[in-house]
Amino acid sequence: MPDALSGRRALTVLWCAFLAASVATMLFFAFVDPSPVVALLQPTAVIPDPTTLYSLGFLFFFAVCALAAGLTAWLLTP
Amino acid sequence: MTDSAPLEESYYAAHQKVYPREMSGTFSRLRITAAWVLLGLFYGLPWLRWEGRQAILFDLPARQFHLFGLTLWPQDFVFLAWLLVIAALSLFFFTAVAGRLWCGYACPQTVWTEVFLWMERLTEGDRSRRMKLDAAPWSAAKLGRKALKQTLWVSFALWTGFTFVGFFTPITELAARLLAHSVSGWETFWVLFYGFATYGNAGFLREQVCKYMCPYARFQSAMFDRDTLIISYDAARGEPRGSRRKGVDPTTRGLGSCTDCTLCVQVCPTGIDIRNGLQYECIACAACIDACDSVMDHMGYPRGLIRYDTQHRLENRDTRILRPRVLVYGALLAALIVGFVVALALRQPVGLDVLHDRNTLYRNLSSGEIENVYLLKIMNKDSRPHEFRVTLNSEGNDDEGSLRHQLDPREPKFLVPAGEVFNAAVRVRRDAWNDATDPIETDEPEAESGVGAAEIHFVISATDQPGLTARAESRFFAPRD
Ligand code: SF4
Ligand code: SF4
Repeated sequence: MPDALSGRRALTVLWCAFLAASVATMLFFAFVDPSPVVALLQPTAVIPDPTTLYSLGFLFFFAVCALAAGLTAWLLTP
Repeated sequence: MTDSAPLEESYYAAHQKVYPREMSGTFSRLRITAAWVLLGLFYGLPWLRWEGRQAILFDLPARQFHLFGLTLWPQDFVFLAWLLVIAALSLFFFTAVAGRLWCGYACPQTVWTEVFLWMERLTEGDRSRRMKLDAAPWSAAKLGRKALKQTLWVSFALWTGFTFVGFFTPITELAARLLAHSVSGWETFWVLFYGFATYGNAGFLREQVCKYMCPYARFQSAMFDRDTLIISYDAARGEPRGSRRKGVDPTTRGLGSCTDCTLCVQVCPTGIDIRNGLQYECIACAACIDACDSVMDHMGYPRGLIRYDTQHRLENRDTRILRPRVLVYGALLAALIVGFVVALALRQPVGLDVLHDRNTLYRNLSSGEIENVYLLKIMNKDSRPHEFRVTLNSEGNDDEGSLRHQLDPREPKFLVPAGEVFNAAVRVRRDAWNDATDPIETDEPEAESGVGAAEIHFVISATDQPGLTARAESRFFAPRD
């Protein structure tokens, strides 16, 4: 049943990407302090507070990891 | 995906909804107790206060991690990583000794699924009623029950998301903002994100997470050996299986102890038959032990047809608890834990960073001396405020007895509140540069432009607690003749 299969694949891809993105976010922000970036961009108000940068950082890693995991899953499909 | 291999076909078999039957018994009581404790910790801990602030808080904007009296900073990241390694190794250790204890009693997937199942039972009734309800055509009653279940599920999931965010942002303030309808966009996003994940995992995916998505479920078998405690069916005693009436001696019928009541299959949350032997889907929840024991009690047979046991004992051989694998995991774990505690105890709760003034390299004072300005970032990671005295310990200061570099004022002191970074501007001066007497020559680019640099060391020490010190190095710049 291809439907159940692709659904499960999609979830597995997202889940693995989530795990990897969590690790990446933790490592990245352990060494990078967002507050200077926020201060630098203050006038433009693109990133109003550190929380936004943390969140965007996570979503960015999530997207990249999902891309890698998704491509891998797709290419490995017989 | 039309011509997938047979193996893959079975692996990706269409999902059959599992309707686990509820069961009471020793292990289910244990499981429920564990679930209560863990859920209580998760939902309760963010509300706990300690020394005037939230006891456990990953304060991301301030970049501090509060753990009761302890405050960890990004510089202490190694402790967090260390803790994760300890957690992973404990998992290995317990898996080697007693199989998938984690899965059965502690994994959030299991615990939350249990809660969602409980809500399902509350609204839709027991196993047979749930199956009937799902098979029945839509009616007002069915709609009502389903709607009630979804309401419970969604509210619980949202509360979970809220609690999760409460570990990262002070939860009392978050609750207040929630009541005032002024929760920020990102907070709302994360509450929904985490709530959705809870709902999806515990309400919808359930055992499929364990079967298809969990890395631990895949590699746990690598930690098993024939002396690991597993949930096992004693085939030698149980077979041949067959139904019989109570009070009939099975031996007269040529039967074993298994009455083939399939209760162990009905209670299994992953929908497997443990009588087929150890399977990787088994999360060792022990529900089938309770089920089988209840049948054995009813029939008047001894308990334990399904039980925690080791492969070796099932084969009537001796089993050893202390074996190389367990000893190695245990020793490593003990070493890591001791090391962690020692490192934490020795950790200096004070940090110092020095930045040379960005705008001016040096200034010529009217006295003929040269002055440099520094920004000291004094971090007081302790839970009490401290007063710090700044001193200089620069090379070249001591060997000739003459203090070449001097602080201005001589001994600046700064009071730094608990858990804060204090930015202190400090001036240092010295005589004009003299190539002949100055021990430190540099071949830095500044040297070409007629500027010399000397290493200097700043030391801060708490005036109220001897031994509480930190040092950092920087450079002093001066024009060369
Ligand atoms: S298999 Fe994975 S998800 Fe399932 S209970 Fe075990 S650890 Fe948790
Ligand atoms: S086989 Fe038994 S212990 Fe394993 S998951 Fe099913 S009910 Fe739980």
